[in-house]
Amino acid sequence: MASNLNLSKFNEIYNQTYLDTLKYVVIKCHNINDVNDIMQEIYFELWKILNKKEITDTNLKSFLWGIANYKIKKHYSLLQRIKAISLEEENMEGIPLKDMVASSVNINDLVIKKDDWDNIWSYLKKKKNQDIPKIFYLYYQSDVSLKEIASLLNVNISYVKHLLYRTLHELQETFGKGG
Amino acid sequence: MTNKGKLKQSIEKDINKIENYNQIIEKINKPAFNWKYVLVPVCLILIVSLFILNSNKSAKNSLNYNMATKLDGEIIINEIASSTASEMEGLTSNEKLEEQEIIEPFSMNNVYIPEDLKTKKTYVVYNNDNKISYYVINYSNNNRYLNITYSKEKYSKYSSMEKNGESSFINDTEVKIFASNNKFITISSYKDYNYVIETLNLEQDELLMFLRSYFI
Repeated sequence: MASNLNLSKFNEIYNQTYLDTLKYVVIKCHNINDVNDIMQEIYFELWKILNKKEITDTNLKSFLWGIANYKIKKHYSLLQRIKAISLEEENMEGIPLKDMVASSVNINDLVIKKDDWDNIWSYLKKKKNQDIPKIFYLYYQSDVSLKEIASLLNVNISYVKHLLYRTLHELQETFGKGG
Repeated sequence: MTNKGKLKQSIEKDINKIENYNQIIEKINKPAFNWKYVLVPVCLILIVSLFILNSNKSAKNSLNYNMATKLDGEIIINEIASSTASEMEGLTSNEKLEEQEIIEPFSMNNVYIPEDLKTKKTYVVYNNDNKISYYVINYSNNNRYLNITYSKEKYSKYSSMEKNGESSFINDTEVKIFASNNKFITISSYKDYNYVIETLNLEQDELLMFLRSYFI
């Protein structure tokens, strides 16, 4: 069984760092459906290291992100990583502005037929272009600005806006009244 | 509740902090793997591997390389004699070291450096023609250090060692890690630079954490 002292330290670190680490993993993962597994692997690794040596607070973040990078790389086979360099039509970074969705959409204005946001989140997670659930997670869950999302995902802001607003339109059509 | 609130709720239900925590605790409390059922076959494999490797070895060279020991899954640590490690230390006769401010190739902000290595110094090494051979970033305390040596050219002093070492991969970057007693020497090329990373009295975990956070 886990020793009480290490568990208490682990709990403290887990609570302190969970959200930042999760945000980092969401940004870096290839598929958002893997986030739970990767997070568990990261903190299990942290637990193993905690039992071997003292970890101080000042370099905790870089320490965890080092583990995160390693676990993310290990999680995906080379084939999956090659596939993630997408040439498919869903990855439309750089499409001309005139083809962009003209108007921004507010999520709170969507009129959804059934109040089934669990299904809506599952729908988003299944998107071929995994930037879509990432953007939704960062924008609505983590309250990150669109400009910062663009910087974190290393894309341009018009791409982020396009994906977000186009998908919101799509959600209205698919799940909305009359859809 | 707003639609945004409902979406947040669904996300939190799916990527759930408490559920993840429970899964981690379950893994932590899982009974330890019973080694006795794999120890005998593992020993047999090791003995056979030793035999095959030794029988393939050519005549001893002056650097006295020993068998590489595969540890930690993908990471290979090449054991070298302490005499070899000592030979690699210090400057050659046509090098001189000056403490100077240097422009580091990458930001060290998110790089893991052991907390106790508080003293940071940077150096430039010049050759006899007063041309820059390489740069050194040194983190140290009394009896532990981490040296990051880098240049655009490969450091010829290590070329024989590098040729004979087995590779590991850190975040897709090929590295060769050598160990002797309390020292590690890591040789790699990364984003146009050639690196030799030397440590004294650092644990393997600390070295690997540094490498994983540097070679991203």
